[in-house]
Amino acid sequence: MAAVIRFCGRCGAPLAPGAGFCGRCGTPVAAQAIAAPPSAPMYAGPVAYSYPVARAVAYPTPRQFKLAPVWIAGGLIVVLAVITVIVSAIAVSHFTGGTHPTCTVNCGPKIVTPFPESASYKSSAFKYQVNYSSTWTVRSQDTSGIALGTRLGLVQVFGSGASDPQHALDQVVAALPTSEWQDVTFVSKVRGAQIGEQSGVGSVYSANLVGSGSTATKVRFAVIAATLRGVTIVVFAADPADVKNYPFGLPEGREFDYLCTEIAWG
Amino acid sequence: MIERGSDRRRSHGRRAGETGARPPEGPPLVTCPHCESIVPAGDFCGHCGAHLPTANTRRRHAFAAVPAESVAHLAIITTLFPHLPHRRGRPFQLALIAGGAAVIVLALLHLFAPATVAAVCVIPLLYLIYLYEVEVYENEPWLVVGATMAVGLLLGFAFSVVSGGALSQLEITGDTQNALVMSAVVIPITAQILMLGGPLFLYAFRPRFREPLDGLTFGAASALGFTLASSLTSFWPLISGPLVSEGSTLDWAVRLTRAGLLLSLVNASTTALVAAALWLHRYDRRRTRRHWESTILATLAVAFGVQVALGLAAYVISDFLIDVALLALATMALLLYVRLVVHQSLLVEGADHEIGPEAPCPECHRVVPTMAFCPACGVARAAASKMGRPRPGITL
Repeated sequence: MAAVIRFCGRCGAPLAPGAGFCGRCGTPVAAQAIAAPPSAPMYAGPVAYSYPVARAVAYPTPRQFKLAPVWIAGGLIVVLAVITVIVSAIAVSHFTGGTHPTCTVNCGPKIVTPFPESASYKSSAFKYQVNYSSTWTVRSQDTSGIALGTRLGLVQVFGSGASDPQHALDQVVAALPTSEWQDVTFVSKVRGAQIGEQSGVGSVYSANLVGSGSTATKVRFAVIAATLRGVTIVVFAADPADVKNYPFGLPEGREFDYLCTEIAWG
Repeated sequence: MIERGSDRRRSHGRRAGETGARPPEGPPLVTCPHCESIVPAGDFCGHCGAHLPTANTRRRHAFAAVPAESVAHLAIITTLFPHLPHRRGRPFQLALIAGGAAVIVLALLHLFAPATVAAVCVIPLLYLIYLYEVEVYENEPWLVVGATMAVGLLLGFAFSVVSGGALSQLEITGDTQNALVMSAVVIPITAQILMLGGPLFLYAFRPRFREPLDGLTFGAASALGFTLASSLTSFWPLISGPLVSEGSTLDWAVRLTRAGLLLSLVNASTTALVAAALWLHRYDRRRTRRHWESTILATLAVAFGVQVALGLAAYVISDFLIDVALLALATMALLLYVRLVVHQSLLVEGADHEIGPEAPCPECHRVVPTMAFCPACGVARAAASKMGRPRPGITL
């Protein structure tokens, strides 16, 4: 089908049939428009025409590609290798330089301020009672134990069926989900660990706690366990690590320690 | 020899006063059934980009940046690196695969700290190479890279230091309500606003970067810089930890995929979407051919909506694998949406491009009239790298 199209002589836009002015630039048709010479056919199907391929010598042009293909992947790998070496060097320097912060002080604080106001929890399954600060929030509780959110961290007190406190302690550490608790490293034993009046075992660990937003926080946690008359009670307490200012790196270590004295066996 | 002349003009595919008869060896002329411009014969209208056999301007089967792929084609490189011609995209694809392989090797060796750093660096580094390769920045590389990636890095670092510590504190103390608000609302929205900071600076002070793909590139670059810094800051306790760590390689592989690939792509996509729509809004003043998907309002709703939804999911869903699966689905959906916006932007752009004489098409390498779209393959001329576009003086 042949289309009779006229064009604006000023801007080149096609003109509507019978238009007095160009619809685009407003130029009067009589003054500017020219009749389109032999018009092109309306597209009615594939037209047998194949555009020639540019000669290899002409394409790509010298400035079209700045990097050789091998340099794109190669350069990336080289940079990644350099990054790996740098990160490794930092880690090795920590190891050889002894700058890994660890708490070597056996700090079993006994002189602490009692909780200003305390609340209580009683375990019906393991027959013990614990008094805790009423400013802490209860995150969960059941018949065997309670989980509390403290000012900076968390503390859990729960009963265990294990007959040996060390075994209970090891079980707790082994059961930590690796997706959240990463790089769990033993720091120190807690000398003089006790729950209520019962002597037990305790250890402090460092770890990276990975949160929901993939944020990792350096934390310290302590696990203290003691067994009396076949009942084992475990205290698990964690805080963001602050190794410079607090013993064991636990800012609330004293409160946690005091909590242990507030547990009464059934 | 074909030499590009200096007679350029805007508007339709035919010069006023020019005779319809082309040189005997040239292509015949046809009238595009969609825009009614007289254009050289081919599969695509060189003026509006419509697929001539079907008069379909949407041409979903031929992505305007890479016509060999459809719009609904899932691809990282041709979506977020749209200035690369199809053949040139392969080295970047290989580089991405090589980078991923390097991360896996490090994870297999239990070198999780270097693997984490490498994983979060792969895509930002690749994008930096892309910026250099296609010279989006024209003659102001330091300004553009500084306003996008460098500003993103600084903002990402500062933001992560503040927000990461606050969120961890809320999570560890069991303050679930505030942690939820922080994780699902405050952090995603603030992060998205900060990621748009650098591109908005360029939008306001460098109007000569006017093409929507400029906006898309600036948005993606800024988001990648931001994500890199925030990831490094968030993972610093792990990175500065033991060199050889314990843990399952598979678990770490999933974790690194999330941090290095999915988070980067989600942030790059949401920011690129909004930036491209902003640039398109300024570029396309007529707005007659715009589809709702590429409006500023729609892209803002998608970008912020997805960020908030993912923040909420990350907090509420405790199963890590489900969280990663959701993130992967969101990434795929966002990449497809970015392609749609790129496609629509390039088709809208067509109306304002000048016409020149024959030159090799950067995509199909055929010698075609320099128009807004290649009549042979349909690639948008604006999708070519700025230095690779046909220019006066290129000879065959």
